[in-house]
Amino acid sequence: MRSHGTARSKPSVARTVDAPPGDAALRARGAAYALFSELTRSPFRPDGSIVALPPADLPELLAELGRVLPFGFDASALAAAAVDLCDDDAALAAQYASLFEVGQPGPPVAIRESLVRDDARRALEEIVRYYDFFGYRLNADEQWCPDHLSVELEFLHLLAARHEAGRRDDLQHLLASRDFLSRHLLAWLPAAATSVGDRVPGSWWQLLWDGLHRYLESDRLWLATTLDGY
Amino acid sequence: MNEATISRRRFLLGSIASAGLMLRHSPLSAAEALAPGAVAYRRFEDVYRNKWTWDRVVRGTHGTNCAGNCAFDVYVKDGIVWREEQQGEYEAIGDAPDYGPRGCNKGLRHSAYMYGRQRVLYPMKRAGVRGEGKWQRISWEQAAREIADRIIDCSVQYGPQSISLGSGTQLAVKRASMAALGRFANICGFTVPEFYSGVGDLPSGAYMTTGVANPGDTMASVFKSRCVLVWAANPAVTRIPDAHFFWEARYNGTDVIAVSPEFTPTSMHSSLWINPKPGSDIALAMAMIHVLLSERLYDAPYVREQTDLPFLVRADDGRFLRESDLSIPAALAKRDSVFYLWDEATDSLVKAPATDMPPTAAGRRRPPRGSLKLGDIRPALEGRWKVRTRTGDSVEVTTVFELLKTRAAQHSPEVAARITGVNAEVIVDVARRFAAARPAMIYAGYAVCKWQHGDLLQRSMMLMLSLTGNLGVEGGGLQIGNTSKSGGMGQFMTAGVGPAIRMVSGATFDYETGRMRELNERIYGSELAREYDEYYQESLRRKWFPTYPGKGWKMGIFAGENGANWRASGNAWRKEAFDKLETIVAIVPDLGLTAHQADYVLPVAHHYERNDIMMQSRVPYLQCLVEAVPPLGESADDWTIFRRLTEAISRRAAERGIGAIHDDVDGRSLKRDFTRYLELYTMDGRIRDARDVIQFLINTTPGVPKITFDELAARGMVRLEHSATTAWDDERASYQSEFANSVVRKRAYKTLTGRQQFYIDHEWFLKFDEALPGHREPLRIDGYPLQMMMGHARHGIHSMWRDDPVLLKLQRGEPDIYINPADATARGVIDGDLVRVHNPAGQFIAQAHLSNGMPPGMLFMYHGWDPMMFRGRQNFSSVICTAGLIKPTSMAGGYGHLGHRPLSFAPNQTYKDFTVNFEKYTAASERFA
Ligand code: SF4
Repeated sequence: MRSHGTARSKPSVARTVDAPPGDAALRARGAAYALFSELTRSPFRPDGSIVALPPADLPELLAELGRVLPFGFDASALAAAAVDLCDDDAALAAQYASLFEVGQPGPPVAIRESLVRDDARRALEEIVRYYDFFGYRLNADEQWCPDHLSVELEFLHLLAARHEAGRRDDLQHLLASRDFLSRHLLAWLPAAATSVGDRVPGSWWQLLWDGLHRYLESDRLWLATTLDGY
Repeated sequence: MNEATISRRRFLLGSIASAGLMLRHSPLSAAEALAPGAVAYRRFEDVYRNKWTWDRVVRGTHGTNCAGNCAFDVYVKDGIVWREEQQGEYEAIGDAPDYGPRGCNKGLRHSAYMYGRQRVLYPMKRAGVRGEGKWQRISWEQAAREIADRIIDCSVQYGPQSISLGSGTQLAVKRASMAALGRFANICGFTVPEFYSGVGDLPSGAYMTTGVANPGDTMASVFKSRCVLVWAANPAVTRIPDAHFFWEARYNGTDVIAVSPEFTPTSMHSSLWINPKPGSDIALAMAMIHVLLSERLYDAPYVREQTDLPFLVRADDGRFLRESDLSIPAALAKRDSVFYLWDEATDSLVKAPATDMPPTAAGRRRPPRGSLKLGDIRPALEGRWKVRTRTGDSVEVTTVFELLKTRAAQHSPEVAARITGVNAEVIVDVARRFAAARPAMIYAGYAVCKWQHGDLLQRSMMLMLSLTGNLGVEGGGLQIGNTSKSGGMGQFMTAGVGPAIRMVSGATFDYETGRMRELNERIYGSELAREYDEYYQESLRRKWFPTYPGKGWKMGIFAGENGANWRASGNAWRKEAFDKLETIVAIVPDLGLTAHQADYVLPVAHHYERNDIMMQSRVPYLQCLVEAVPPLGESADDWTIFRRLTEAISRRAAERGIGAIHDDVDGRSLKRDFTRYLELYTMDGRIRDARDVIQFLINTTPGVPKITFDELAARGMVRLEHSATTAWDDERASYQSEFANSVVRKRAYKTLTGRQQFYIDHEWFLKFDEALPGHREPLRIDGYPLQMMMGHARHGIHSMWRDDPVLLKLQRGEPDIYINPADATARGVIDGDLVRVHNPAGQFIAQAHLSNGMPPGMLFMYHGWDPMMFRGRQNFSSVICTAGLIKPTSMAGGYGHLGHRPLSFAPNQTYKDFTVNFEKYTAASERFA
């Protein structure tokens, strides 16, 4: 069981959103992408450290998101699972690696879009074109995998954040989010999420991928409604 | 239209902070991270409006054993390799066609394959039982530390010879990588089972004949030939960038004659296809030799000067007539290296020029043996004479040529027709065509060497070429693959350390570690098993070949090879040797069976992620691999991996207080101080990375233009020096020019007789009637009627690229086996069925691929399919049971040029002397878990 307040747990960071409601909702939308990007990022860091555990205050963060997001999103199961996680970065990292990073003939679950797309190269090109178009550049050690789930999520976070920070009547970031979601993330993630569920049912990973999948679907619907007519 | 770019991580962290939801990291101002720009996006097509541009175009090739060495341009954008394109900047050689553009289907898939799911990206440690497929990702520090501890422990407890460092063809052809591996092994004292004989590629018949194991010129020499026998080779499939030389030669009037049991894509394009039954090729060659001799189609002056065919042989014991037979002082001095001719000009016995090999003090270079020029001597080829021996007795002598005539007559075209299935008239016709064409060549595949008696076949091929004066002639000769002069590679491996490596034949290594005598007994019977083993042990006892048994094989490091895949008798070897290892380390770019069974897997960089150089004799260029993108994930090049290991060994030995150990290699006594391994490996820090290794090799390899690696990397390839002709006939060139040395410059061959030596009077050769080549029936397994043959594939280089999804779509998508329709029908099998191929050694399942191109009684499978791609992880190596067939003559020594010569003379691990049967495979016949 993961215990709060121990030396291993991360400091609590949740605080009340003080922006106007509209801004907060939009900001929360982007922050959720950032959060999911962090949660799906490889826990093995270039400096040899391991960061696998979610932030200690993840339940509070999720609850906050649920309250503020411009659409309904129930992350209670994920929040509960976060509480139940054993307090062992290495063990969680090993699970991550054996699910998404190593295996034969390849990791059990693809965490990169190009590994599952029939038109892999075309999909990858378009991803990079999106990134270039919006000036999103990867660090050198991550450039080889722009189609990694965590990176794609971060790109959506960037789009959401830019929308939130920019003029509200400039819809280009929302349009790009809508297109990128449907043409990329939602083109491959659902099957991968099912695969995670099949392999490690009831696990943190299943709940995370399931939560992420639902979040993406919710955002897709919200975008469709918001952009109705575009 | 882009906004100012921002780095991924920086943006993410700042943005989360600005969202006020997750402040794990120090906040970054939103304004800084989210500077709005003037992007105008409306729909996805907008991202396509900007012209796609490349960040850079880098030179490269594929460092694999395709022997292609094709120069490519590699296109990079945003840190990703997107495509490769053939570089078209090769020039012509004289009037021969250009080498470029060069390339093949595999190479053009690599930019996609390198990002494939098969890729190993991180150091991994086994988490479950071996082969279970459970892995733990670990850091390089942990991997190096734990492996270093195992190396230290094994070295101290069992001796460094208990650790093998297998070098596979994926690594060995990359020269900096091979140099790094060799240096690492030399410093550590590991046993290196050399793969050349291990995969049965060593052309020992060529070596026995000429003292040169690897005859060969450039590919353009094919164009210079007037008749090419493409024998046991399939260049249309296996040498895609170079196959055009054959077809252009045909347009130019060259007779291109394919010799193979099955109808291959090469046969399709040839002037003529002849299809001897599998394993009957020696009879075919000997029959053609019979035609050459009986119709006097041979080049007598060439034969008299260059070969041992005029040498005299005693009729009583079948041994060459030697000086020690004639002179008491010579007998006392054991002077056995002077041989005799019968001079027709004087009708008398004369010493053969350039045969006297004076004794040489240990460590001193042997003086040259004089010229082959005959002067006034006119050696008789035919006849019988009496000579008086030192004891006063009279003994009858005759020539090797006479003995050859008799041997060849036993293989008349009619006899050979019965053995080979090739019509006698066709045999005669081909022999005449071959003899009439000048120059003529035999382009022989390595498959020749994979028969137990492949040496005899190769010796008979050499005979065909020699009788017609075609050895050592541009456009002629036996084309296998010349090896470069040792030069830089050897220097790099041993600099500052001296030679302290334990190199053994892969065949003998497997024989001992895999208990192959027992397999022989089970498959081929106790008589063969006992006899072969007796000779094997006798050879070791006489120290003709080395063995390093120590306290057993404890740790295996497999670098650039998929050793658990390609082994003959793979099942037996895995069970008896591989699975019993205490530690298995696989250093691989992609996950195959060897890695799957390993305890540690270290990721190695692929072709576009590293710097290296490539050379091979068929293409007279130095090619480079250039790091187009950083190694993917946490992979690293071979130099770096071995550096990390030496560093960890030195550090751990110091931390653990482990002192130097005493070692003894081939009589050389030395100390191995673990704490110094890093400084030795890096030459006291002077060699920092692979680029430094490359520069060392460029600077020290003969015939390589002395340029910097940066210059080479800018050009992609440079022409090797002294390669003006299509033959390697210049002594200053990078490759051996032994034939030109003898044929043109009249220097003695590096054989016992100083000649192309077709007669070998070593006691073992005489006992097994192999003094001259002759037909031998291949071994078969009772009750298993079908010969199984294999060959290199169009869609993979060994196991690399074999699992590429696009290339699989061009095939049947899974391992398939070619079957003659009549054989299939007899077993109720139709095309596409699964079949179970089996014999007493094992079984595997593959898809039936019916083809009229297969002769009845033969199955054919393109090789390289990894066991992981088969049901039950059993591939063809489970039915190949030939690893124990180390024929006695291949272990012969104490005879001039015969004896342990790594990469030149060693027993081959052979792959063909076995048979199988098959049946339809259904769920009901399920035999695998
Ligand atoms: S794999 Fe070999 S033959 Fe094919 S393109 Fe590359 S270098 Fe050439």
